[in-house]
Amino acid sequence: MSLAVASFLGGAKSRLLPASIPFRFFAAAVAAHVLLWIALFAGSAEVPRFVGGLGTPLAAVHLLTLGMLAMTAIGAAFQLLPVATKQPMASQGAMRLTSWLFIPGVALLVVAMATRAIYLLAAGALLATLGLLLFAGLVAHNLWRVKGMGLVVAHGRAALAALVLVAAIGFVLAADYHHFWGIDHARTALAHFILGAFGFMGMLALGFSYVLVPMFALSPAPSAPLGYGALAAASAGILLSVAGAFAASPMLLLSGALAGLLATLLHFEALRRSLTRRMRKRLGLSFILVRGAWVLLPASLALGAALAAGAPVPNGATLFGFLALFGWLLTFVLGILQRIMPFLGSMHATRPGGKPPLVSELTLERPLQAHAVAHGLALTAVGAGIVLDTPALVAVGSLLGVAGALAFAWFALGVVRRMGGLGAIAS
Amino acid sequence: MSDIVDQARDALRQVIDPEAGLNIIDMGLVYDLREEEGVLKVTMTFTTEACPAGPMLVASVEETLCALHPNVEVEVTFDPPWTPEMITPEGRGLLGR
Repeated sequence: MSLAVASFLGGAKSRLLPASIPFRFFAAAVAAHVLLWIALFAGSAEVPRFVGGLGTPLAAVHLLTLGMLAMTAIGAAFQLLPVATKQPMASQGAMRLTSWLFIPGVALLVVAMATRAIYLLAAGALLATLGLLLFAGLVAHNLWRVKGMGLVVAHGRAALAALVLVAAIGFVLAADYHHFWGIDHARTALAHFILGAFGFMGMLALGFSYVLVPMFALSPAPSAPLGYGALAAASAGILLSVAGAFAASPMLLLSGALAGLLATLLHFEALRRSLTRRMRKRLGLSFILVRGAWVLLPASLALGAALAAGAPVPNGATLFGFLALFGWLLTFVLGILQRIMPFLGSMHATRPGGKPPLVSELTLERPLQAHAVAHGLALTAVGAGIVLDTPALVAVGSLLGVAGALAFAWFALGVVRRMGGLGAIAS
Repeated sequence: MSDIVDQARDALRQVIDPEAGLNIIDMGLVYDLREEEGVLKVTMTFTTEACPAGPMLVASVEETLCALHPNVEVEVTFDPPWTPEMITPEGRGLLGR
């Protein structure tokens, strides 16, 4: 396959978005990262036994899932997808509209959750859902026309399917607080959690890994058969688990968790084979976080399987959610984001006739080191607080999380400053 | 090999992959460089089809070579796909291998 330069460059200009579009989502994600730890601190008394319901812990969870994870995914997808698929996104106006719907929608939603304001909850849920569905439509339109990159595209399509379901179920859950449709909140919320964590975000994490990990490590593309095997097992695991959640069937939930563990095994083997042939010897701090996340993914699934099998784990359901969301997904996204932001900054800082700054020139190591230490300690303290049913440990861990998140925000501001300030993003 | 091709190859050592911090010649991203019928032709690739920096690299190559030659043609191919083994021994040394 080859591309003539004229068409390639002509298309490239339209595919490189104005920096203000992806970076507004990244800025919101960085802010949500700080706020989610503050919300966890505020709700630390309820966190060890939290299994759902309105309040500050639920706000913290949604600051993480929608504010941090989904916001990063949207910014990265809008920026990377058109370049990767060689297809421009349908409309820059629609991408901006996504931010106008989603960012205030998430803000309203988490404020409503924290303050138990039912009317605000419905309004926030409506805006956030519309934003997510618009994002899903834009990405689906882009992926529809793609040729090649089958493994990544298949993960993207699976993630989109999960996103539509998780957004719809989330809206129903929020609306039910007002309309009292009589749905089983616990079962529906578990299905919503599985689809959001392992379906939407999980599939994106798996799919993006097949592109980003080899690119950062300078290693060959991971094995496609292993990748498709992981995708099939993960899809089966999600479907079984969601069915198990709605049917309250431990057997289905256990089968889903085991299928998820098989998917994890295949995914890691594909990446391990790729990384053993890498040319970059030192993978840096970001990969310490990514590897930590890779440990916590199977840990969460193994705990889920144990809980489904009836194992008596103290506050097990809360720990399961914490390991999956904060341990695996948040740690993974932070590891990737600290590489993506300077990389995209390098592309956007390039001026006609000038050379792009190196990624290393845009990165600040010290705040990232401070973040990594604080993040690891925060996970350990909050996890211990949940297991030991000790809110004080959760509070200490949350404060460490705030410190880490502030260090990460310092890093993000440093990238923007080295790019040439906010003017470089606005232009 | 003609002088212009040698000059072009040397000039392309100034085009740096921003992620790897290595020039595209030592990265093994330039598959072919030749002058044919008055046109300086480059065949190159990226580390992955999804490389976000790819379009910028092509632009840098074209800009660099246009300073040396009036007619430049850059072709991007993913056949064969880039592998780490294409990095030159010098490049591997710079990457710490």
